Amino acid sequence: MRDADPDGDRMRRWAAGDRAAFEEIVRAWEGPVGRFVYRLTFDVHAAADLTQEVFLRLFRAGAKYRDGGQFKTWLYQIALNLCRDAARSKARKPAVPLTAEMDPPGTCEPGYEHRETAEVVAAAVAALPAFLREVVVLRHYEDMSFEAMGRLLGVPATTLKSRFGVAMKELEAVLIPRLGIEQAGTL
Amino acid sequence: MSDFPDVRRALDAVPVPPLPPVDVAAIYHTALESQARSARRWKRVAAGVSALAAGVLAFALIPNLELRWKTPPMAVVVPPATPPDPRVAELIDEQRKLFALLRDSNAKHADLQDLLLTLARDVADRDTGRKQELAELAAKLREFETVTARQFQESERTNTALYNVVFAAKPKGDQP
Repeated sequence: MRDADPDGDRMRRWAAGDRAAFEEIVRAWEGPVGRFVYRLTFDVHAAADLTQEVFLRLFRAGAKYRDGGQFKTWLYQIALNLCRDAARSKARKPAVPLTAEMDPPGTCEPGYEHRETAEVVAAAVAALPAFLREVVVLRHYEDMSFEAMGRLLGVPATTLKSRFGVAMKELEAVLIPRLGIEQAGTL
Repeated sequence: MSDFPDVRRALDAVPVPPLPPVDVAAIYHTALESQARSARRWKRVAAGVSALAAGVLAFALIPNLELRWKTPPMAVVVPPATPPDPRVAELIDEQRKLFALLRDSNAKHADLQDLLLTLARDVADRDTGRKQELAELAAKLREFETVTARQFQESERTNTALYNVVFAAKPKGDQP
């Protein structure tokens, strides 16, 4: 939580013709937006292109922004819409397939196990239906409240809570056998 | 946040590869190109609408179009009589009244001028008579003065003669 609202201030400055303010917005948000888009697409190139497109849309739609302290929601709305459009426009397949070849344990180079885990998890998340993957990304990675997610996705917070539970159960069902995680009785 | 700790740990294990920084210059360039494209599109739309309007206008005017090889005779166009505006009629009436008043005042002015000229002539005539009378009186007065002066001289001469006759004949010392 920020004390002031630097993004609102930057948007006002940009609307007044200060291009440096737009560059400040880009530098401040390109990392979070890039990570968000990547976790929705699991494709580095697509994520780079979509992040660029997000800020282009932001540039075009900047005058429409109404300062309500919801800059992040507004920006993520743009990113989410772009990701949905991209997913619709092409049949996307996971960047890291679940059937990726794995070296036998003990023969791998250092850090291989960690990488293998990451690949398996990424593939599991990518395999989720879009409406569940969005909830997981927004809730787990972006630490967004269900109310904020509700404003972003246009879905009631209670529905999103249910979706998040379903998504986590599906991931658990996939990851526990593959990664050998013992069930801790957390359900 | 305490639900599914293992799944959450697994999710946290997924790294995000470094993404290239956003090219702000490319954003400006793309936005400019987009604006230029939009301007061109609007220009084309405007040209199309203008052409369509011209076509509609021409289509509407073609039935009234006549092709003539010679100069047509000049037609005198008499505009239809329109009922006069009541305000104009009122103004004309007022103007007529003003002209009538002006005519009357001109006639009165001419009469007065005649009267004044007559009076002036009369005064001049009378003045001339008076001057003649005065001249006659002055002449009579001068004649009277001349007569009086002559009589005074005659009287003085007579008195002198009498004085000489009476007092100059006796010598001094003589007794009467």
